[in-house]
Amino acid sequence: MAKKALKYVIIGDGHAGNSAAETLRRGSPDADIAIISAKPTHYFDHSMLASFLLDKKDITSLYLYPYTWYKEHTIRLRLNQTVIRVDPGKHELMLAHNERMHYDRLLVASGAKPKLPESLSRYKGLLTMFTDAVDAMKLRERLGKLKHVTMVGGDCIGLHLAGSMLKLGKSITCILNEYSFWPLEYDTSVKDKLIEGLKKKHIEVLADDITTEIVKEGTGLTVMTKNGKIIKTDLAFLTSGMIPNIDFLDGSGIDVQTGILVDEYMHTSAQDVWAAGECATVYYPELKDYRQSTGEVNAKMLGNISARNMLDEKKAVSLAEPGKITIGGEDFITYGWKGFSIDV
Amino acid sequence: MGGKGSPLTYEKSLTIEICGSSGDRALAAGEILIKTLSDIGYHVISFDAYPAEIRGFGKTVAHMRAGREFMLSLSRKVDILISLSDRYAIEQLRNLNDEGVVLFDNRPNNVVYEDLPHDADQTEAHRLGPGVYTEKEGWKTPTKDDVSIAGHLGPGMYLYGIPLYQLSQKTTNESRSRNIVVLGAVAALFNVPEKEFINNLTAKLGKKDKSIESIIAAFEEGRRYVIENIVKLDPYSFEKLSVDRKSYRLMDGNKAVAQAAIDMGCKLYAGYPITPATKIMEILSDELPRHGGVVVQTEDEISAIGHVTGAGFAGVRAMTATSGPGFCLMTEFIGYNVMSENPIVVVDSQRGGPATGLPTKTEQSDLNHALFAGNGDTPRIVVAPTSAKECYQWTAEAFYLAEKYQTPVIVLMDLFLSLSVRNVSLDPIPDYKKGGNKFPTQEDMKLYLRQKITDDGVSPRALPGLENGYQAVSGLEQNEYGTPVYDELSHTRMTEKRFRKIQTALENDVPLPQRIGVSGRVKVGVISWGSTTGAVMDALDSILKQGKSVAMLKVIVINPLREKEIQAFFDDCEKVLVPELNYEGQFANWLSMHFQKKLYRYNKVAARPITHDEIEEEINRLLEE
Ligand SMILES: Cc1cc2nc3c(=O)[nH]c(=O)nc-3n(C[C@H](O)[C@H](O)[C@H](O)COP(=O)(O)OP(=O)(O)OC[C@H]3O[C@@H](n4cnc5c(N)ncnc54)[C@H](O)[C@@H]3O)c2cc1C
Repeated sequence: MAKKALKYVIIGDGHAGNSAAETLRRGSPDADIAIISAKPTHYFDHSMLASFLLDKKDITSLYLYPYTWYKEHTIRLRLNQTVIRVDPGKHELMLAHNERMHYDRLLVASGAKPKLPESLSRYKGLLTMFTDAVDAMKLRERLGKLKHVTMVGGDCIGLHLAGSMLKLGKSITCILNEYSFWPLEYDTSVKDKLIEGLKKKHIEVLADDITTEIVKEGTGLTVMTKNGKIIKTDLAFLTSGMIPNIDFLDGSGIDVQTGILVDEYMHTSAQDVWAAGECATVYYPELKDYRQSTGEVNAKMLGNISARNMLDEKKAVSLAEPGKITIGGEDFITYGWKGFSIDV
Repeated sequence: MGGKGSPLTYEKSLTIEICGSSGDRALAAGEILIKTLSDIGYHVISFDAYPAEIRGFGKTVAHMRAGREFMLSLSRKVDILISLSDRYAIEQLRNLNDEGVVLFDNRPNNVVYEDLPHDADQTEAHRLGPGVYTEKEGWKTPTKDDVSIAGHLGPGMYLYGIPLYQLSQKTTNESRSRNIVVLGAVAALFNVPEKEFINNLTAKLGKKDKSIESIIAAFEEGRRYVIENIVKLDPYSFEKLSVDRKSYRLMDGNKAVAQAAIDMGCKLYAGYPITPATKIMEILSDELPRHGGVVVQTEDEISAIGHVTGAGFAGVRAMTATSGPGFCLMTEFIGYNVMSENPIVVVDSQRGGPATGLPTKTEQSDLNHALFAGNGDTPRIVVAPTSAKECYQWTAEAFYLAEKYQTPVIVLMDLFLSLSVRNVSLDPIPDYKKGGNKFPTQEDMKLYLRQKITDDGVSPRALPGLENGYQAVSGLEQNEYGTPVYDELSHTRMTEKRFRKIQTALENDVPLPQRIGVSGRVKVGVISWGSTTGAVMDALDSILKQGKSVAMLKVIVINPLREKEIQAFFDDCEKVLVPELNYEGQFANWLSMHFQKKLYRYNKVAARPITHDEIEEEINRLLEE
């Protein structure tokens, strides 16, 4: 008797989720494949968001696949639906609208969310996020009114965004803190180079300083720092790195540290559950250690490897090829993060 | 975030469905929505669906189309589907366009939905809903209630979840205001002005519902939820149009017929309830007494037409309305009124047949019956209005023609025309149409001949009570006095006279059929009748914009036919398409009895109206063939 096709459920419509879905479909033409995403938008490239601000294109211009692709590949797409619980024992998960979904094999590819440092949690409502297409859409509507923006933290996402802000003629202050340059290492040598690069781009840099208070004033904000600096700004972006988006796994029994712990085959501690992309903390045999996954390149690659393992191929991970970020003529090496330059 | 959508702000029309089970009050929400869209300047047409068996059980769908431009038909595809009951709304997804929007309750009460089992047969599972898995029992047969619509959308569709149940509870302490919460969400999502919505909410519910404030709170809560929580990505949006539609009223065909009867001075309505004509009787039983008339609910349709016949004889304008099964019972009296030259108006709102057939589904399959019912040579006038506006105009005309030509006039509607609501502005009826009787002159009264042979076939008609106006009335053939006779000459002359007056009606009172589209020679011409005409007109509108060589002829008076003009139209057309909602092509057959032209038939017995997109496809097919 022919083997029954399995039901694969993927939590996450990002690079990891889509690359896995594509691989699964290729490897198992009859499988039932569903992608769930809490977001209303389709699969897109986050690295395009900064340049999306510069033109007037429709949000759909960001989408990497036309929706017909999912039809052609018979992949069910469940957008705007949030997973609130996973029960690996029962092989089921729960969606916020009270729907229980069964799976045979589950891939968690739920990405990451902005990290809100404890010291800033009081100001959450005053900080602007720039993490998805909707944020970009909303920001674009407000651009005309902005003169000055502040990057609270200065991670790579913020720096990329700063590049577009410069092109739009906005002046920028970067308050570099311990989370700066996430996901890259922020050691002293990098720090000096980065400050140098940013200054060359006429970005005001407040190094070794931290935000202590944010106050709303009229339509703008006043940001105060530990070193006594007072910045009048129109928007303060939270750019202090990202942390895995895995709250819904609470109580699932799946082992997590920063992210979901997976072995070199991307398998989690739970039977029939894999994880990939920015939600995963991956064991690399080359490093003999775990590393938190960040960046598009990693997400795509790990999504693909997870899927191959979900299809019973024993495929271990390896480190991604290095990429490059350029800021004010200074180059920085990335691993798994598709590089960019704010100089061009 | 709610809001405006891209400025697509609809060139074309938007079709919306609100789907629920009984008790969800989907139809009430639909009524408020369509009225609001009409108030802000849109042309609207709505056609609700409810189950055949008993109203109030099972699935109900408020279906409406709204557009900036005038339109007469429904679209096959739905743009916005609002689910008040997922188990039913899932079935409606097959009509949703690939980039359509779904609104659903994302925090339902006491329900745990189940997703499709991976190994269930997909079609079966889709029909039944998904399986429920338990370790003990494995997959259990699902019930339809186990399904959420969220798992069934196509990949290009937009899903918006609103906690309808929770917001309804919060504002009204009960769950049945979910239909109002969703209207608030619609207002915010599709930019429908709040003010007009609230006016209509108050107008519809205010009188009945003491708790109108909490109802408005439910509406506001739905609106606010969308503004605060939903990111609108779909392109659909309305706006308040700067057009004056003060003279427009929302009405369905039944209301239009009833209104015409009142305005024409109808004093007796006799009928027996039958879908879809019952509402005519309901309206008239409220209204006629206020206008000095009466409504008699008879024991059956034979009695109903009998009452109307008696009133006609007595000179009182009278009408009955029925549907196919009832019309069958009336057949004998059609012949009787032809023979006795008595004016009666019979409305037949067609539904799927034969026999009891499909009581709640539309069809155009009573045409043969309307044209031929009765024994012997029984000429009669048959008119088939094509819109609510024409239901008014042609019911009025039916009274006029019946009286003027002393004959039965049959108004052929159908369920779609009867029940679909549109915003229409009615043309006033000219005064001279309000009394068509050819009264005898003093000269005539010297020796009154009820069946006098005249050039136009119409005899002077004395009403009972007129001095010396004695007359014998029966179903027997007669001479000029009305005395029964059976000789060759009398029967021949009288039969000719009865046909002659219909010919006179044709010459004097049947307007030229309206030709629309390209003049002169065309590749494809469409000739249509009844409610399908709306779909043809909408299709033509779109095709003409593409510069194609098409035209249509709208025929309202089916008997007598304007043969010369129809022939001229046929001469202009390379191909003639006849779309109709019946299997045989009854109108095409009728035309074939009169003309030589080859006709391309487009017949459907789809239990729903033909849509403009279907006609458009068919015309394009013929153009390309
Ligand atoms: C603004 C911005 C710019 C960036 N620029 C770059 C760059 O230049 N180069 C680079 O390499 N990387 C960049 N990144 C990082 C890169 O986008 C991520 O590494 C990558 O998207 C990770 O892919 P992923 O599939 O793991 O997760 P994501 O792409 O984040 O997708 C996560 C998915 O999970 C879904 N999800 C999460 N929780 C739930 C839930 N509970 N229920 C249902 N669905 C859920 C989300 O809706 C989403 O679909 C950038 C990121 C941002 C935000």
